[in-house]
Amino acid sequence: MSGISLKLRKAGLALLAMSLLLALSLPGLAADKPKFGGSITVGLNTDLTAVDPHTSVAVVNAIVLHHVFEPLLAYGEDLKLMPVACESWEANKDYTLYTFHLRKNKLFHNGREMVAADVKFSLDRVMDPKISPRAKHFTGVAGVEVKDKYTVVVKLKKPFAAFPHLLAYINPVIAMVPQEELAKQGGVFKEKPVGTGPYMFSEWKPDRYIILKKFDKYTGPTGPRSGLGGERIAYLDTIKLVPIPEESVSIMALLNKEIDLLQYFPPKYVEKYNKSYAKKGLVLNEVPGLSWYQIYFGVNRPVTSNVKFRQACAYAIDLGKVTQAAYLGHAKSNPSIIARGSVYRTAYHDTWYKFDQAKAKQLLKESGYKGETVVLDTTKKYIAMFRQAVAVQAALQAIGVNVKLNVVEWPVLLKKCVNGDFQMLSYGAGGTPNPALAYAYLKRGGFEDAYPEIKKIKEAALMTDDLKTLQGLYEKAHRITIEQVPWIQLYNYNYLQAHWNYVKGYKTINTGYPILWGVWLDK
Amino acid sequence: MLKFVLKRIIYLIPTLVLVAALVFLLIHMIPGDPAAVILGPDATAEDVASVRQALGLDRPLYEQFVVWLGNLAHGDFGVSIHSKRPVIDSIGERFPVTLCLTTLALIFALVVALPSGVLAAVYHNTNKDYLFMIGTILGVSVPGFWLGLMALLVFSVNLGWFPSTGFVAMWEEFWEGLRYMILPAITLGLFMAAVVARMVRSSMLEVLRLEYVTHARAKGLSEWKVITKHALKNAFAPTLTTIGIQYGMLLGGAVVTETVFSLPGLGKYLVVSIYMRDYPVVQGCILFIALVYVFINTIVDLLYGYFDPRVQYS
Repeated sequence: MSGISLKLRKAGLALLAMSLLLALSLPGLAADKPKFGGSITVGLNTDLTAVDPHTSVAVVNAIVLHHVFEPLLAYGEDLKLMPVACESWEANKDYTLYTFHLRKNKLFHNGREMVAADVKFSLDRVMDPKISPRAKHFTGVAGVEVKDKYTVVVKLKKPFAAFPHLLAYINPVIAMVPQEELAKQGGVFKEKPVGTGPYMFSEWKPDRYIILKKFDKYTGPTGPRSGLGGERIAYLDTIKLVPIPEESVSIMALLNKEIDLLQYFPPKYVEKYNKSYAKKGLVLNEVPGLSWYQIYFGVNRPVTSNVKFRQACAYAIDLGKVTQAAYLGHAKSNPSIIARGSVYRTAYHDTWYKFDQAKAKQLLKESGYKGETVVLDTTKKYIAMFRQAVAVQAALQAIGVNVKLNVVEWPVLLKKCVNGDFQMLSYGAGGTPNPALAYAYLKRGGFEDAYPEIKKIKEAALMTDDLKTLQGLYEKAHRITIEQVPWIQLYNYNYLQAHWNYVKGYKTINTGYPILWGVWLDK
Repeated sequence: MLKFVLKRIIYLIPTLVLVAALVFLLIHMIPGDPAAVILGPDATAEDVASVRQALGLDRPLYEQFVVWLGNLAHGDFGVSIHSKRPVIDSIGERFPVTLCLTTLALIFALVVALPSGVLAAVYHNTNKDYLFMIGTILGVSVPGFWLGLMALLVFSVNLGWFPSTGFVAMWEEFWEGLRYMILPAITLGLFMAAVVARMVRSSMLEVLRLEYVTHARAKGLSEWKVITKHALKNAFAPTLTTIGIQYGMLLGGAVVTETVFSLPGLGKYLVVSIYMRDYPVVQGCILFIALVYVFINTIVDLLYGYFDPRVQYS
C-alpha cells in the first residue's frame, strides 16, 4: 500500500468530516441569518415624558428618540466618536472651526432630503435656552454656517477640542430636525416627531404604548455596529414599547411573553433567572455600564470641609462591600469617575484608599472631629442610592462618625445637589463618556471653587484631543481627588436586560439604552 | 329642586377657587424644582436658573397664580412643563380610563356588598354573620398593592386567564377591554365592597327593628318583599352617602391599582407629575378631581331625596 492510498483515505476522511460539519452547521447558519419583518414588544420602566429631542433629558425619551432621530456623531462601544448623520468631520489646527460633511440622500421621514440648512437650524435650536436644557453647554459656539448644500461649519469663540463630544450626547439626542414639521406642530414636537432615523414615530398613547414603524427609505452609516455607531439596519417592521413601572409586573409580562425584551431586569431576580427562567429560553445580558454612583462631600460645610475628616471617611469605606450592598453583586467598584473600558482610563485610576479602620480612626482624631452630626442626604427613588447611603452610614459609624441619613424625594435631592446644599450626598448619574465634562461635576459641593487646580486641568483637557495628553491630565485630576477626597466614587453598575431567545442580534450596550436596529426575530 | 341645583352650582365656584389657591400654594411649597427635574442629574446651578427663567418660575408667586387663574377662567389649564402638551388634553385622555376602572369597581363592590350586607343583617349573630364579618375585615385590611400582585400571579402568570400588563379601552373593543379591566376593578373594588357591606349590614339591622317592618310582616308580606321593598330602600339612604364618599376615594385609591396594572389613568398621571414637579399638570388634575368629587356628591344629595322622602330640597 502506497503512501498515495493513505493520503487518499486521509483526504476522504477530511472531506467526510467537513461535509458532516457543514451539514450540522447549516440549520444554525440559517437561524442566525437576519430576517426582515415582524414586530417586537419591549418593556420600559417608565413612560415617555416628551417627544421633542431637544427639550428634555429624561433617559426614557432618549431611548425612544435615538431610533427616530439622528445626531451628527455618536459614541461607539469604546467611546470613540463615529459619524451618523454626517459622513466625516474635521477640525482646524486650533480647534476653533469644525467642518461637517453631510451624508447625501439622507431623508427625513416626511420624504425631504436633510441638507446643511437643517443642521444649522437644529444646532441653533439646541443652543436656544428657551428650548433646550443643554443650551448652556453650547455657549462657546460663535455661529453655525452653511458652506454648501452638504457642508456645515461650526465656529467657536475659543479653542475647544472636545466640541464633537457635545454633538454626541447620549441624552438628549442632539438631533437633526426638519424646520417645516416643527412649524406645523407649533414650534415643539408634542405628538408626532419627525426625524431621519431608521424608525418613524407612529403613535404614542400615554402610559399605554409607543409604536415605531420601519422607515423604508432610510440610509445611514455603514460598518459594524458599535454602541450607538455603525450600521443601522431596521429588520423589524414595528417596535412597540410599553411602560411597566412596577418591577415584578414587568417580570410577569416577560414570562407571559407579553413583552419580548425587558429594558431593565431587576438584579433581585437574577437568582430566579439562573434557577428557572434560563431553562425556559430567556436570555439575560449583563454588561458593565458607564453610569457612576458616588458620595459627594460639601467641602465648604462644617465638618466635611476638613480634608482629614474626608480622608478618614475614604479609609473607613470598603468600596467592594458598599458596591455589593448597593447592587447585589451586579456592579464593579471603581474609585475613578472614568469608567472601566474607557480609552482615557489608565491603571492609575484603580488607585484609592485601602480599607483600614485604624488609619481612619487616627485621621478622624487628627481632624478634630468631636462627634458632631453629619447629614448624609439620599433618596429611595433610585434604590441603589439609598442602599449605598445605608452601607456608608454603617461604615462611618464603625469609626465613630455620627451620620444621620436624610431621605428625601428625588426632586429635592436634585435641588440639593445642584445648589451644593449638603454635607454628604449619595448620588448617581448617567455616563458622561468625555471625562473632562464628567470632572465638571466637582463644582458640586464647592470643590472646584475651593481648589481651582482641578478647573485648570479640566479646561486643558477641553483644549486637546491627544489621547496621551488627555490620559496624563486625567491621572493628575484623579491624584487630586485622592489627596483632597471631594467625593468617593463607588462603582459603575452593570446593565441587566433580558429577552426571549427568538430575539436575535440584540446587544446590551454600555449606555444601557435598548437599541433595536440590527435586531430581528426568529420565531 | 332646580333652585337647589342652582344653589349648589353657585356654591361650587368659591369651593373651586379655594381648591385652586390651596393646590397652587401647596405644590409650590413642596421642596424640589421642576427645572432641576427637567435637566436631570448632570445639571449645574446655572443651568437650573436658566431653565427656571425660561419657564417663568423666577417670577413672584402671586404673579404666577394670577396668570394661572386668569387662564383657568378661559378654560385653559396650561401646558405640561415636560411634554409641552395641553393639560386638559392629557386629562381628557386619562380620565375615561379612571372613570371606567372606578365605575367597574363600584359595580363589583355593590354586587358583592348589597346582598352580603343584607344577608348578614338577616342572619344576625349566626355563623353566616360571623363569616361575613371576617370577610369584610379581610377586605378592608388587605393592601390593594399586594392583592393586585397576587391576582396577577395567580390569574395571569399561572392560569393565563388575564393579561398582566397593558390596556385596551372598553370603548374601542368592549370584550377585550373588559378582560384588561376585570382584575384591576376587583382589586380596587374589594375595599369598597367591605366598607359598603358593613354599612348595609348596620343600616339594615336598625331598620329591621323598626315598627313599620313588623307591621309589614303582620300584613302577611313575604320576608323577601319585607326586606327588599320595605327595609332595604330605607336602609340604603345612609349607605348612599358612604357610596358617594367611597366613590370619590376610589378616584384617589385608583393610583395604586393603576400603577400595579400599568393602566393609563389620571391617578397615576397625577402621582408621576408630582414626582416630576410638573406644576400645571398637578394643579389641573387636582382641580379636575375636586370638580368630579363635588359633582358626585351633588348627585348623591339629589338621590338622597328618592330614598328618604323626609329630605326636602329648598
